Amino acid sequence: EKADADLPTNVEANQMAYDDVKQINIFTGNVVLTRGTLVMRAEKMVVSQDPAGYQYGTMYAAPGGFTTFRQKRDGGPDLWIEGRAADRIEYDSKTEIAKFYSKARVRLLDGQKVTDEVEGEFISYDSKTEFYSVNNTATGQSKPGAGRIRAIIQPRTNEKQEK
Amino acid sequence: MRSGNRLRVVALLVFTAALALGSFWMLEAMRRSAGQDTDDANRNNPDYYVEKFQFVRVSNTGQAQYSISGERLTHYPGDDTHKIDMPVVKSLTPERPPMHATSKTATMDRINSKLHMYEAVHLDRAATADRERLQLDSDYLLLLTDEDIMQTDKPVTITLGQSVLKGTGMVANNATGELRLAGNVNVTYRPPSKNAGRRAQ
Repeated sequence: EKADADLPTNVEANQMAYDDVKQINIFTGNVVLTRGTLVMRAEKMVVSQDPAGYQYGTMYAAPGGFTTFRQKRDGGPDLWIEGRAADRIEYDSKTEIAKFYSKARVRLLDGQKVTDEVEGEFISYDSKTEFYSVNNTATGQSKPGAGRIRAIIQPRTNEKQEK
Repeated sequence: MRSGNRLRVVALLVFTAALALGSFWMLEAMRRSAGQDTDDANRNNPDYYVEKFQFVRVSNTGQAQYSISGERLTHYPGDDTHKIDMPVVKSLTPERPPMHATSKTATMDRINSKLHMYEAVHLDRAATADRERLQLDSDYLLLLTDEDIMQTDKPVTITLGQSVLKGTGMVANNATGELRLAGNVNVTYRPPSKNAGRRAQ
């Protein structure tokens, strides 16, 4: 959600190797990144930071596992988004865009209930506009015949009706 | 003739034996009279101390590499180490950013390229064009001054520019700019600075 943008980012891991010249930090061993409501988990994470203090992180999944992304969404008391990828997630804290690579899946949740679910080789999610795009190749472009995209979009219950 | 020869050989032998024994006896006497000095090696109290000192390490090209100053430097002949109270270590080499480290006490090993700093260790390395300012706090820090490496197995808190890094098993190589933490790493990057392009919102 919007409020996350102005909060500090915290990273926990087993090991860390920082290169002062390239100013790149590599965390390894059950890496957990938290920033407000945003939580990302990975086996390895490479982080660089620009002078203004924005972080650019690439989270790598453990072999056979997934790297995961979970963040609260605005516009509701308990709206969440959960994403995962088999290869990696690239996260840019300036544009707040998360890119999920290979066997990617993004779910929108209302509390525990999954309202939307999208699967594909590559998914890009912009948490500012809460807009996500899906492609069937891990490079981020769609190629005909490269693979199926599956999307389940639940009908939006009209706010007024609910009350 | 033969018995005369044998007589001379025997006399020679007796003479050299007496000579050897005599010198051994003399050495023993000298050693015993020297008394305390020769068994200096196993005494553990200091044999000298220097107050308000500054020790500057110079490279073979005559260039100052680092200085160690402090309230008091005490030498222990037992293991030939120097104990320093309130040490202040400064790196003086131009190619490296100036670094300044202090602690409550320190000991300098025999080959004094090793400096163990104990209790309230605080290190401050100035920022440079391409490196952020680094500050380090720990209970123990080992400085390998010749290889420009510092390490500690104690928990450490490092402030690097705006981020704070905590962990254990730190090794930092100032020459290559590498900094590793081997255990329970916890890093906090502060939020992006307000003026950086946020006004657009």
